[in-house]
Amino acid sequence: MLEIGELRKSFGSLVVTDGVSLAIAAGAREAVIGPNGAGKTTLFNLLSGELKPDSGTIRLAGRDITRLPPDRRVKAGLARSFQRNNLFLDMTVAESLATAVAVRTGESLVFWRSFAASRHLHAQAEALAESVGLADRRDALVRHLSYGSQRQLEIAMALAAEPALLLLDEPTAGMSPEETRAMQRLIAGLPRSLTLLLIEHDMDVVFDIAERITVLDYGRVLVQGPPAEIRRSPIVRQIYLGEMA
Amino acid sequence: MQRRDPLALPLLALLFGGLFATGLYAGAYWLTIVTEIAIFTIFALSVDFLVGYAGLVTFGHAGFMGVGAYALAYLSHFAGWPVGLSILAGIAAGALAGILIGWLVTRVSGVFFIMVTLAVSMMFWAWASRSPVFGRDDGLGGMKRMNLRAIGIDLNDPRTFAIVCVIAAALIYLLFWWLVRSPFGQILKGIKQNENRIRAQGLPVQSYKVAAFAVASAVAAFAGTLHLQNTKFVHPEVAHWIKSGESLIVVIVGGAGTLVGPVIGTFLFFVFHRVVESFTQNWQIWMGLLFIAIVLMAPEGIYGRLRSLTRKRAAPSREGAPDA
Repeated sequence: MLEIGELRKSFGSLVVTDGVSLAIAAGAREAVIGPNGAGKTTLFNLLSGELKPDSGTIRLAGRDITRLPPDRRVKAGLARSFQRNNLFLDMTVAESLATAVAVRTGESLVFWRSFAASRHLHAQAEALAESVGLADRRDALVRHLSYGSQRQLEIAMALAAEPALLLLDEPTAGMSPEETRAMQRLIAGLPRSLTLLLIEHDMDVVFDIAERITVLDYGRVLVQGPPAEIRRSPIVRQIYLGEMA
Repeated sequence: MQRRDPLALPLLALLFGGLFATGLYAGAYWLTIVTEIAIFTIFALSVDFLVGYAGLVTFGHAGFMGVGAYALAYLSHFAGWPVGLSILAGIAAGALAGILIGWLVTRVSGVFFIMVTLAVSMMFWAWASRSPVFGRDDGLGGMKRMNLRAIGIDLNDPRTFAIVCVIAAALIYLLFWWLVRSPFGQILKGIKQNENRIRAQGLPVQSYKVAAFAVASAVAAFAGTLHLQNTKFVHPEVAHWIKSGESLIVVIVGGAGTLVGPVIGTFLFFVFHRVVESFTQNWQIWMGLLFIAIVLMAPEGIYGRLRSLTRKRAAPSREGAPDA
């Protein structure tokens, strides 16, 4: 599904992505972990097109997307959620999702029909709200949602693009333990047809969801393997898990 | 889904109805004011579409009024085209200029956008002020209005012309009302609220900004063709930044992103101007003070303020209570 080859990015003299290569199979669920500043979010920004790499290639389902602008990558099947909530604060949940659906279906160009009366847009928005547990909040303004609900909406917005590959940037960041568990269930319950790559600091979530984990440090892939192996790896314990002990 | 505006219809009926009735019965002095209000309303609505919906704060929109006016002047006066066809060509020229300039200016945003739109419009003004064909900064008279005598309408009659302009303003209001309630309008609101988010949904944001810019430019050019027919005089002032500034004032004071607001704002601006002018030459000072007072008391504009007051009273839970 996703093949990253020798991806490099530096800001001035600071190398934040230093020759990262990674291949992710269709339907896989993988996580990228690493200490703060390891280059995880930069890697996501390179994948989603917010940043352009200095060198290297990104292939999505066999297609080279390295030079595509962000919106074209979404059309090619790659969507992401953001570490910090990045939402339409003055729309309701239903309006936000229906807007996102309109972008995906190409109805963003429709100027002759009423948005509010476009039932199929709102039916799909409803289904999306339900899939992330926001059905009862659909008429609430996004700015009135709790932080946890906004995180859920963040996932629903990404799902609205109907991606083949979904990048989740710290989906449980800043959440309470209960909210984290709900989010964990939500991610675990996503359809298996969706390829998942997540950045996450909560190790319970990572070890529960990911089938394979890539550890980044100083922009390089340090080690890669199934959760059990990563848990045992002395170098990971020293560099990353050690921090938490 | 759409939050209702119980105030919109009565207010619009009052404003457009008032203009229409004044057009029917008023004397010559107020007729000219009705005509000016109607034409400027069209211009202000196009500015609100950009500023209040697409989030593109332009400080040079009068440039497109100039494109419409000068295109009409050239085609009807010099090229000998019929006025009706020249008006359509003027609108098309506005749309085309909107696409070209929109493509250029939407590469930047924020303060840079404001400055670039200002600069481009003043380039047009500078060209018009030096164009010997159009009488440089003296302007050029002898322009004609559209000839509709075949269907029994004499636009050279001030009353008829005023009423036609009021009807045109009402139709342009309907055009924008219809556009902003569509999925396309919703996308523009999305761009204004969070450009990065809507790009992350897969929207080529710049193309949509250019489209909005072209629509607003075509409508501004239409206002320019009406302005030219009203004064029968082509003058670079039509494209001056002061006009752009006035349009921003009426949009912000009336309530940006509401469409009703600019209609209220234009109405107040012109009526206040005439009333105060009859007492003192320094009408701008009083206008300035009034607008400062309004913006301080109602940062969301007159109509924005009215709407939030009635919404709170009518339906306190309308927007959903914050959840625990």
